[in-house]
Order: sequence, then C-alpha cells, then structure tokens
Amino acid sequence: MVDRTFRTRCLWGFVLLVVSPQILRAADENDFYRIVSIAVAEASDSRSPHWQPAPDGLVMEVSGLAALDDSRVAVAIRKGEIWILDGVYDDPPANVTYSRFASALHEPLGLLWHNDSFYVTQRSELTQIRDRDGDQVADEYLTIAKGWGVTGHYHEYAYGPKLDHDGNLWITLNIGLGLKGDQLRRTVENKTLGYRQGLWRGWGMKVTPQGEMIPVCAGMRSPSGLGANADGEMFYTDQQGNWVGTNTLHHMRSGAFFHHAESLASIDHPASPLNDVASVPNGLPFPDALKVFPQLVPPVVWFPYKKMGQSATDIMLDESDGKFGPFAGQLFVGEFTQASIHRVFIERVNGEFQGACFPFRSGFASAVLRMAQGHDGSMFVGLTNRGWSSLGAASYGLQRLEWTGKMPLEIKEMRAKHDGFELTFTKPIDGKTGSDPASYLMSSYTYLYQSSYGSEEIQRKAMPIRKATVSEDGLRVHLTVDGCREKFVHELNAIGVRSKSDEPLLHSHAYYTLNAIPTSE
Amino acid sequence: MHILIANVPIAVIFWAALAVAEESRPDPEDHRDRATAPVVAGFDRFARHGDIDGIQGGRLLLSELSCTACHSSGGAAAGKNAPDAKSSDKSPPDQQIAPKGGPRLHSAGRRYSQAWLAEFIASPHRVKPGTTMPDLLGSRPLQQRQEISRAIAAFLTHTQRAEYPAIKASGSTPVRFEFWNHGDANRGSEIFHSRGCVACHSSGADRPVSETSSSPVDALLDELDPEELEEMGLAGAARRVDSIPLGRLEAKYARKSLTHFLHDPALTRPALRMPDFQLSTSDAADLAEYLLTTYSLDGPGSGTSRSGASRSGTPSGGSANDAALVAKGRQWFNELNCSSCHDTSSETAKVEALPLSAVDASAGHGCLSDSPHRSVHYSLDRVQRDAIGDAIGGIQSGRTFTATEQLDGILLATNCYGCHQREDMGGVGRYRKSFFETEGHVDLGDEGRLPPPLTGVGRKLTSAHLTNVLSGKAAAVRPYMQIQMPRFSPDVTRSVPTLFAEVDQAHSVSEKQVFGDAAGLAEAGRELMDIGCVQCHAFAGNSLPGVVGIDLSKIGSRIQPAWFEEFLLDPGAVKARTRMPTFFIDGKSPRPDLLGGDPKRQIVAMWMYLKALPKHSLPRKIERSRAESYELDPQGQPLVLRTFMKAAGTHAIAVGFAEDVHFSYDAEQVRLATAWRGKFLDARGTWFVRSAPPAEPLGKDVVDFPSGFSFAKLSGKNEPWPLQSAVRFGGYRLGDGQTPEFFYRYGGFEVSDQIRPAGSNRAIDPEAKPGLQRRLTIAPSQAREKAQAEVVWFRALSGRGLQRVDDHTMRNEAGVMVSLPPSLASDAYVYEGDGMVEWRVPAREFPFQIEVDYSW
Repeated sequence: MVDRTFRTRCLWGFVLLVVSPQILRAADENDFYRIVSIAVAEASDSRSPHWQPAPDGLVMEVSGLAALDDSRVAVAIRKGEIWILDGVYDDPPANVTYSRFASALHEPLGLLWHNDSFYVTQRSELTQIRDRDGDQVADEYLTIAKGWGVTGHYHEYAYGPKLDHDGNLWITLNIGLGLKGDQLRRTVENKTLGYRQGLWRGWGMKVTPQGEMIPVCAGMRSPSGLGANADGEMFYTDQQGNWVGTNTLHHMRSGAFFHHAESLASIDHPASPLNDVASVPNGLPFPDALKVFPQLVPPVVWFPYKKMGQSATDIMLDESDGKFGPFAGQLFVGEFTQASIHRVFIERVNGEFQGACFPFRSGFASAVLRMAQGHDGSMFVGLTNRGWSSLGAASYGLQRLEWTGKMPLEIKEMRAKHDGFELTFTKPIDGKTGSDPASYLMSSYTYLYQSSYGSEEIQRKAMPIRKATVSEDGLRVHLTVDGCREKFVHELNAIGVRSKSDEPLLHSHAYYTLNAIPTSE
Repeated sequence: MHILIANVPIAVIFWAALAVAEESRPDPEDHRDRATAPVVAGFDRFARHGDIDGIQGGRLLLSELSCTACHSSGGAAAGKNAPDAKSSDKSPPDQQIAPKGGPRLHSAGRRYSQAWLAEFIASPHRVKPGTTMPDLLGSRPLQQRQEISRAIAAFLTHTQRAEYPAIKASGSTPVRFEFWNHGDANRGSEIFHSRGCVACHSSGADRPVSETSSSPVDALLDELDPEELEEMGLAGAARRVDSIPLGRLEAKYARKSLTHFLHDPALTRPALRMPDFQLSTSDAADLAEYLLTTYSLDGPGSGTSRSGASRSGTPSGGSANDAALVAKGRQWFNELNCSSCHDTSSETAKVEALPLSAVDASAGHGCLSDSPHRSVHYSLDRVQRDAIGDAIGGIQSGRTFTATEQLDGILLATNCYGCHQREDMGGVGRYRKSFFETEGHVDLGDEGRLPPPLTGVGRKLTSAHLTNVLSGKAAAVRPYMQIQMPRFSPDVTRSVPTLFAEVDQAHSVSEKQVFGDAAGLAEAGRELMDIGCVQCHAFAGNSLPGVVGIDLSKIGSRIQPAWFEEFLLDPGAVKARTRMPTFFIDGKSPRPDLLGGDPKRQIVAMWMYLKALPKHSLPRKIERSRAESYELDPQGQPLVLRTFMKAAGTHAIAVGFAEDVHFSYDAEQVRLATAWRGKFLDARGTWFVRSAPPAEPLGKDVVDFPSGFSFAKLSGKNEPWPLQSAVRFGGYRLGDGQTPEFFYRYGGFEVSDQIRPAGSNRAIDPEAKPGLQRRLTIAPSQAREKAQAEVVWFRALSGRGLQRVDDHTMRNEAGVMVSLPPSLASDAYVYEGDGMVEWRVPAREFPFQIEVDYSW
C-alpha cells in the first residue's frame, strides 16, 4: 500500500536537503546529527478549527512509535490507526511502503510492541492488539485495563504505555480543564480540598502483567511523555500551565505528588496511595511549598521556559551503546512547540534523582511528540502540531535523526558536588579557557507554586565561579561555586570554553536542578 | 535549519535565477543620478514625473523630511513621531502636515553600533545615501563634525539603554531562546522576496526574478513604445520604481537589534513608514540573518558575504564613553535640536523654528538654499526644492486641501501605492510583480498574487473592516496570497477609513435599505451557492477539493451590502479584469425556479445565507464532498469507530453495516446504546478536531436503548435492578465478515455479544425496515470451578410502560420492539417498580444463549 504522491513529496525534501546552499556558521547541529525526512506534510494552520489534512496520502500525525526490526517501524497516528512502514532506514528513504495494521482507535497516544502484540492507550482504555489469522491486519482488540474517568473533555489525553523492567505497563492521564455540564456527571470529588475531576485524572498508573491497574502517583498536568531509564525506573515529563511553573521531568514512584492539585480529587478512592492532604499552598516559591506540603516532591529536572522549550513530550533512553553518539544511557526529551529535542543527564544524590538538561537538536519539520530508537541506534522522530503551534510549520511527519560520526564538543554530564559542580565533556577541552572562571556564567532561580498559569523565574541570583579546575585529560572541569541553593535551578553558560582545536561548545548552556547538595566529596 | 517541502518552488527559482540576467531585477540604487537626495517613495515615483502636482509633492516632502517638526504647518508646533500626539495647531487638523519624525532613541544604545552612529551623524548622506535624516553639521569644519558626532554617539550609547521588550511565548507562539541567533538566511531570503519587502526594497543578488514567472502586465508593457504608453495612460505603469535604500545594515545593527526591529518596528519607528508585517520571532530572525549575511545588491558571484556580522547582543564598534564626552554629547543633542524629531529617555530641550506660513522659501541661508552655511542640509535636488517651495507657497496663499488630496497624501506618505493601485496610480512596480506568487502556484491570475486595487474601496469595504485591516487585526482574507498586508500606524488607521468613505462617496446604506425584507431567504441563498460560487470560494473554512479562494463567511462584517449587489449583478463593471464571472447574464438567473428567478432577490438570499454561516449548513456540493472525505460509508464490510457519543457516552464504539442499519455500543456500561438507519457517521470530529466533539448519527430513525447494565445477579426476581456492576469490558474480535464480537466478564461468566443486521424480510415485505439481531452467549469463565446453581438475569427491555405485541415481543414507549425466542419469552419475567417496567430473562444453565431481535 504505497502512496506515490506522498513518496514523491518526501523525495523532494531530500533533494532540497542536499542542494540548499548553507550559510556557514561556527557550529551547526546538522554537522553532528543529521535529520532524514521519511515523510513530511506541508504546512497548514495547526490551530484552525477547520484544520484539514493534506488531500493526498496518509495523515501521519505520529502519536506512537515502535521500532520493529532493521527495516520496519510501526506508527500510531492520532486519527486512530496503526501503520507499519517498511524500508524506513533507506537513505534516501525513497521506497518506503505503508500498510495499515489496525484502525478505529480513539486517539491513541502511545505504541508499544511487547508480547508479540501492540499495546496502545486509547482515551478510555489500554488495549492489546493482535493479528490472529496472520493476514497482517489486526483482528483482536483486547481491553487490558480501563476504569479511569473519561468525562468527554478534550484535554483528558491518555498516554503510553511504556514498559518497566518488571513487565509493568505504565500510563499517564491528563487533567481535565474547566469541566462543565455533562462532563461533571463523570467526576469524583474531594470535598475537603474542593477538587473535582474524572477518577485518576492527573495520575500515573501501572498495569501489572496480571492485568491489575495500580494508581502510583499524582499531580500531573499534561504528562505527554514517559519512559524508563537504564535501571527501569519510570519517569514522565510535564508541561507548563496551572500549578506548573515550567516544563519538568519527574520520577514516578508510589505516593509521590508532583504539582497539579486537581488530581487530588481522587485521593478518597480506596486504591489511592496518597492521602491525608489537608491543604494545598498556593503562591509560594516552590522550595517553600515543599516545606509545608509533605507529599509534594520536586522535579528531577526543571526545563526553564523558552530556554529549554515550551512543551516537553516523549522520553527516550539511548540504548545504542554509542551508535547514536557519545550520550549512551542518557535520556532524550522531545519538545513540541520548538520542534526540537533536549538531552538529560540524571544522577542519584541522597537516594533521589536530580540532574541537568541541555539543548540537543532543533530544526525538526514539526512538533516533536514521539521518539523511538531504531535498530541501528538512530532515532525515529514522530511529528504533529495540530491544535497548537510549532517552529517547524509542517503539519505532521516522520523523520529520523542519525549521528554523523563527528564528535560535537558538548557538556556531556553535569554533576553536583559539595562545593559546586563537575562537568564532563565529550572531548578534551583546552586548559586555558577551561580553567578561566570568566569562561563560565552561572545564576540560580526557582519558580512559584501557584494555581495560575506558569511562573516567571524568581529569586534569581548570580553565582560567582570561584575556581575552575580542569582534569589532566581535559575531559572534566570542577567548578567551585559560592552560594549554591538547594531546590533551585542552576543555569550555566560555559560560553568561553574551547576544545583543544579552539572549537566552542555546540551548546554552551546547561540547567541543573539542585534538589540536594551532596554532603561529601 | 528547516527544509520544508513547500520550498520546492524556491529551489526552482533559485536554479532558474542563476541563468537570468541582472537586468530583470528591480533597480539597484547605483544608477541614480541624484545619488544622495533623500528618497521618498511617493515623491520619486509620482511627483518627479508630474503624476502629482508640485504642491502635493512638496507637502509630501514636508512631512516625510519632518520639516514640520520644526516649522509648524499651522500656527503652533506640530506633533512629533508619536502615534497619538495631539496637536494644538490653530489650523484645522486635517490641513496640518504631520512630520514623520525620526526613530525613537530610547534603546539606541543597545540597538545601534556606536561607531556607526558617530559616522552617520557626522555624514548622513554619505553613510546612507537617500536617507531622510538631514546633515546638521555640514557647515562645520571636519574636525568639529567628528568631535560632535562622536560625542552624540557616546551620549546615545551610554544613556539610551531601554531594555528590549520581553517576548511572550505560549503554546501558540513558539519563541526560541536567543531567537536572533537562530535565523536561517535561506528562509529569510524567501520571506524577503515573497511577503512584500521587494515591493519597496531592491531584491537581493541571490534572487533575481525568474523569467518564467514574468507578469503578463509587464509583458504587455514591453511591447509598447513610449508614445503608445503615454497615449494609453500607461507611462506610469511602465516606469521602473526606485528602491528604498537599506544602507549598510551590518554596520548599524547586530543580529539581536535587527531581529527585534523587524519583529516590532513600531517600537522605534511609530510612524510605521516601514510597516509592521507582524512577523514571528523566528521569521524576524531569518530575515535579519539574511539581511546581515547574504543580502547584497551586487550581482551573483561577486561574493560579498558579510559573515562578519556580530553574533553577540551588542553591536560591535564600542569606544570609550567617558562622562565628559557623554555630557558634551547631551549638550550637542540639545543644541542641534535633535529632539524635535527624536524621542529619548532624557530630558531634552526643543526649539521651534519659524512656522511655514512665515518662512521665506527663497532666503539665502535657509534649509532650501545652496549656502554652505545653512544649518540643516537635506541634500535636496532641484525638483525637491521646487516642490517644497510650491507647497510653502500654497500654505502662505491659504490654499486648503480637499479630502481627496488629504487621502492621497497619506497613501503617498505610507507608500500604499507601492503595492496597491487606485485609479491609475500605483500598484506593485514594474519588474517587481514577478516575485509575488500564489501559495502552491494555484492559477488565480494577478488577483491571486498581487494586492487588490483600492479603486472604490470606500464603497466596497465597511469602515470597521478597513480599520481592522490597517491595524493588523483582520484575519487574512486571501490566505492564498504570499504578499502580506502589513500593519500601519494608529494615525493612518484612524484617518484612512473615513477618508476612503468620503472620497469614494460611500453612502452608508443599511442592509435593510438595500435589500428590504430578507427574512427566511437564507436557504434559497444556500442553494444558489451551487450555481458557481462553490467552484472558487471557501465557506467557513470548507471548500471543494483543490479550491482556493476568498472565504465568503463573515462577508457581512466586511462588505457593504450595496456594493455586494452591484458586484454580483455585473462584476466586470465594478472591478476591471476580475476573474469573478457574471452569473446573471442579461439579467437572467440560471435558477429561474428560485425566488421567481429575480436576480436581485437571489442576491439578497445569497447575502443572507453568507451572513448565516457558519451556523447554517454548508452548500450542498461542499457537504457532499466533505462527506466523501470524512463520512464513514460501510460498503462491503462493517466499519468501527471508537469515539464520544451523546447516548453511548465516552466509551462509545460505533458499528456501521452495508445494510444501512447501524448501532453504537457503550463499552462502559457494556450495553447496546443507540441504533439508526441510513447514513452512518462523519468521523472528522473524532479524527481531526482538537475539542473532541461527540460523533452524531448521520442517518434517520435514531432510537436510544434504555441505559443501565444488561446483566445482573439478583437475590430474587423482584429485586430492583442494581445501579453498580462488576461487569468488565474485555474488547472485541473481528470475526467472519469483520463484524465485531464484543466480550466481557461478569460475575464468573464470560459473555460474548454480537450484533448484526437482522435477516432481511424484504422478500416478504418490501417496506420492511432493517433491524438488528443480537446473539449473547454466557459461559462460565475457565477459572470458575464449576457452574453453581445460580441465575444471571438479562434485561431484554425496559421502559416506563411496556406494551406486549405478541407472546414473545414487547415494545417500550420509545418505540423499541424486542423479540425473544418463544422458549425464552415463556420463562421471562415482567418486573414493575419505581415507575419502571422491565422484561427480565433468566439464564439458568450454562453455556446459555440468548437471541434477541430489535426493530423500531
């Protein structure tokens, strides 16, 4: 089932990529990570109520991605179908074939290949999809879990599933916004706090291999991305809005509460691991809110608004052992509005995760909603911007990001130290610029915890770098910093650092969420 | 960098461009003989060629050179370059000449390179030939010029440091961190050459016009000789139009400052002579990147790349700003009366010169003289001096200006004529038209790619809409046009709509006066859309496939009723060369059956219909075509759609059959919810609409089944039906013929449930309407040890009252009729309680099978 027109358009994308003259710049992400367009639609008004897909071809608004083998990838689309694409690793991908595997799904926002089945989360249930008669088209749609509230409000998206190391399937559930009319009939209420939402709205759920659905943690607003790290611990991203100062990455574990207060509507349910919330502070700096709200846990990473995107999405662990470049074991986080991808380094300090985020790659054709690692280590990037907007103005598409083999100069890791931070680079830096404190700018700030939309950066303070010590191999630098503050974001701009061949950092910014300062060296 | 498929035509142009002669480009400035005279687009294009008289041309210069900032055109000082400045002039406000004014300098210290400022102030005409900034130091010795300009530059750089505006980002507004550093010059070039910049400025050497897309109008002009052009009144159209110079942008601006200027030009230049295209931050960055690194007036291959443009926030070229120098600069800024034209954040004095009514235009030392000692030096050429002299003479002789002249003055000053034609003046200049294309290269003629003419626009558009267009608040009416209407200053926005109305003699006639009683005509209007309108127009965002045209909804707020009638009766008479055809040839309607075939009444009906959109249904042809895209038509095999539905709820599964009978299933209560006949569903809302509206049955005979769970275990047959249930939906399988078979678990039993069209009885009764047949199988689940002696009740039907049709058929008040096999019916129980009647069927031995026929 190949759409010739669609393919032709993709081909054009390639020709342009190759021949367009480029303005030379000191460093260009494209030199290190190259975007290959498998299928990209034309631009149209993503926010128009009359939005229409391109008149020809498959409406590939990618909402789920699963790499199947060394030539195929499966794609869930928002319209409610699963397609299998073959030939996606070809370069240029001129002979991709498309075949529809499943249909009639209600806005699936995830796709997992597991137990020889596809798993998708639809608006109202987790579904296992199989082809029993071997004709390559699904004929069985099994309901694995359901029971969360679906009031009918559009914002109640349901995401996942993602798999942990114990075989549990994880799901996250958006909060509803401004429910009214009939929607209110389908809600639960916590009368003490006065919150009303569909059951388990704003919660992270886990479905065991036996099919039991367990509510794990609450306080989510728009948790459109989730994923496990190398140890199988599960994380999710959230998006700026009411109660959420800016986009975040959180560690999902039992009883944790992250921020969006309306999810507390469900805590009277017997299955809730969270209870005894007497009141919710409103309008406090986040570090102060933590002190008065014991169930509230800080994010693993804050993504400062605009600087690190405007709407965080999927989480992808780099399991390629270096085939995707120098960042094996790190997490990549999709970014919707700015059509880009960020990178995250996390470490455990005092038993809890915290870490830093870095810009990684921009310039995708549309909003990045889904990522999946291919069998060659490259990254499939699923795109759709309908309903919102994105820098890449195409309506939807599928692209692949591959490492060119060239090593960028990047801050690979940023670790908290008792007296500051330690940076690890992807290649040796020059000792002179690296050890000059003036090569680094640092400031710290936090956000307001409040029911109104988003937050400015508050309590900003410049952080003088007292000393910068470069390791003998040039791969590390120890920054001694005065006045680090726990629970604050520490923004670093290593603007002056150069490699041994005088190359500047591809991205000089890093943002470390310092929830705890390690007590010893 | 972004590579969009939509860029294909650009690439084509790019390739084609390499082969095209330099000659076909809009002129680079270098051939001008009046090399340093200030460029005022309207003056150079029209006054120099006698298209407007000297007085009109002179008045234009008095405002654009800001003469009236010092020399009031009435009695007192005129307003400055501030949009809302109210003048206290004694002459009537419409007779005054408002000075354009110079840039506001509050943030000049951040925006402009200090070195460039010093150079420019010392010698404006050399640094930026064509500038309207006068040389105020020309009469002084070289060394003093340099000292003064260095001091003023230091003063501006040191004291004028207002922050850049913070730009808000949101889900609908992407704003990249340090967006000014992420511009893409290729995209910038595309913006520069398609949105409208080259209507006024020179095209870049990277983008000469492709010969293939040359304008038919230009082609015609090429064939005529000068005498013929003159005779046909086309001399103006045949002339090359000079470009407004940009100067050496890379010397003046850094990426950050140019990007901010392009993003919000009103902040520093509120007169908006460079109008506001309301660019996104990324578009502004692309454009700035292009202008700073690639834009060049030199021919292809000259290789004048300017990659030296500073990437940092502050423009390069800093120098010492010691306090003494700054103080001296402040003093000179005052002394030279700079603040008559420039706003700053510092307290500055302002000196008024003689009002125009009292100046002697022929004075030996005045601004208009040749004297080397004159204090203000505009680098005027002869034609300009004469025109200004004429205009001053006019003022001194008390000549007043008609509304037509006032309107023309604004159209000239803001260079509306650069894009729009009105009567025989203006329009996109020669050799510039070819840049402007229709999105997707749809052939809509010049109407689809060039800005609309303004001839008679006062009669066509409502004042409110004109105001919205000029102030940038109107949504684009022509989304297919690449060239874009920018936003103009509040002064222009305020005066132009009124002047258009007055000059074009638009009598504000109400709909009622034009159309009379028009109630109830909308549906006839809808039918009339199909005579042709739908072939070229969109309706509230919907159109036939491939159609790009003006959206006709909201026409009531845009168009004047009288014009609408006139235009539809004879489009060509109202708008020359329009592609809009006449539908009433010889006054006859193609639909004589509607409204007595009266064209005027039919036009009223169309108007009423268009006004009723989007609430009124779409034109039939569009509805049909939309159905082809989104209507689910279960030909051949059953179709399934999971969605939200009113009766089936938020876990709805709709199933449609080729037999034209369909149902929806509620997977939450696990029950048959709704059935209908005819058309199945429109899936657009479910597939593509963010607000996730519930899907509605498209067909007829829609019937809702009672809500509540289908199965219950009861302690006795008279127990009320439970409101809670442990039933758990298990999904569905697509069996033979793709009909879904639902299954679910309930109380230790597995239930399978298949609903399909009832076997047709049409052989016996041709009028028989198809119904539904349901087969339920209740079996103990595998985990269950062995079947207990228990009863599972199935509620076959319920209602406020049940009517027995025969011994195995019941009907409820909603008209749902249920037939059971006689063996089951005989065991069924009719329960009554709480005002409800229920027909309950016990299942006692397992596996138990129930067959139910539904008709309605």
